[in-house]
Amino acid sequence: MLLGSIAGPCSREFGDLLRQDLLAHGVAVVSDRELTSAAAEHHVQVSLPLSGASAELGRALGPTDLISVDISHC
Amino acid sequence: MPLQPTLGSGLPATHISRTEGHFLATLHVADLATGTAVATVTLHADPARQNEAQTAVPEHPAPSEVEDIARRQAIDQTRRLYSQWKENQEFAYMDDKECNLRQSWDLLKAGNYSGLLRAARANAESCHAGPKAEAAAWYDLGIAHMLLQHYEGALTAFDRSQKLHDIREASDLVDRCKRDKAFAEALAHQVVTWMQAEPKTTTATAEVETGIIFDDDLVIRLVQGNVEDADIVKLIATQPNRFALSPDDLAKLRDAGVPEAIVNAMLARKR
Repeated sequence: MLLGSIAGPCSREFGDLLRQDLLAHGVAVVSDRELTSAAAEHHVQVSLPLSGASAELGRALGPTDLISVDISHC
Repeated sequence: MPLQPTLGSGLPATHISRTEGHFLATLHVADLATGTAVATVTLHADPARQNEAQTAVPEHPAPSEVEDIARRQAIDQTRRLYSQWKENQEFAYMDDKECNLRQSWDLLKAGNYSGLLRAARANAESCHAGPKAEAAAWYDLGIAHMLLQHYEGALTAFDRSQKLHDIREASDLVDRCKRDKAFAEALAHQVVTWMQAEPKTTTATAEVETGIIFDDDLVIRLVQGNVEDADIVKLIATQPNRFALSPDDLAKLRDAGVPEAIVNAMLARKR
């Protein structure tokens, strides 16, 4: 599971809570921290949410869901 | 937000200071493999807290406290989505009386992983109850790091534990940490590579273009990330590459545990 963009007011606080809750429920999370690190290695900018993906690669890497949240009021 | 104090009806008069919180968000889940939306959920919470007093206007409940309640109520609403992502995790946790380990066990049971990490770190750094107890404290710190996916911190703590006393479970967890770390890195690299790729048109019979540029390092990451050999071979056969296959490079691949079938696929692709 990939934790993507958490946008809007109090996004940082909500993102931290969501990540912790996912981990507490045994959900494996790949966060934007790993993505940022990988992006820096490739000298590219990370821009979430992601678009475009490959069924081939999705099968190779296993089930991968991307979760994103737009906060409009907090 | 804090509201103006109001005077309650009837006698004696009651002063009420009320603070309301509001949270509204939309959560989207998309399948990366197909790009399709899996779920969209509206998260909505409007908690309120109030203090009452009869002799004077009471303090308003802190807005930050009510905002936190609102966020936690919203998190509760996301949980029904979790079932499909759940993975069973089994590990031993040391809850000895020494070095406060039993208290940190309570934090683990409550799912408070950030609190667990702070407590486990304090326990490990302050524990002087002999090698066995100290090893247990460092082992528990490794578990706390692992649960938060801080793999480097976990590996360091497990290593420290093993140097003090051999805990049988620790070596298994070290392997698991390395695997999870490799997989997380591999997945992150794939996603970044997707983002670099130009959109390409494919026909029903064409090979799928992922935009991945395969190199030796990526192959090693996929192998260590437990991706099926057959899937890796298939990707090698269809994706562009920048393999380095000198005798030294081949030795490095084999030392890293890359199976011969995958090495052969890389060689075949390079010819």
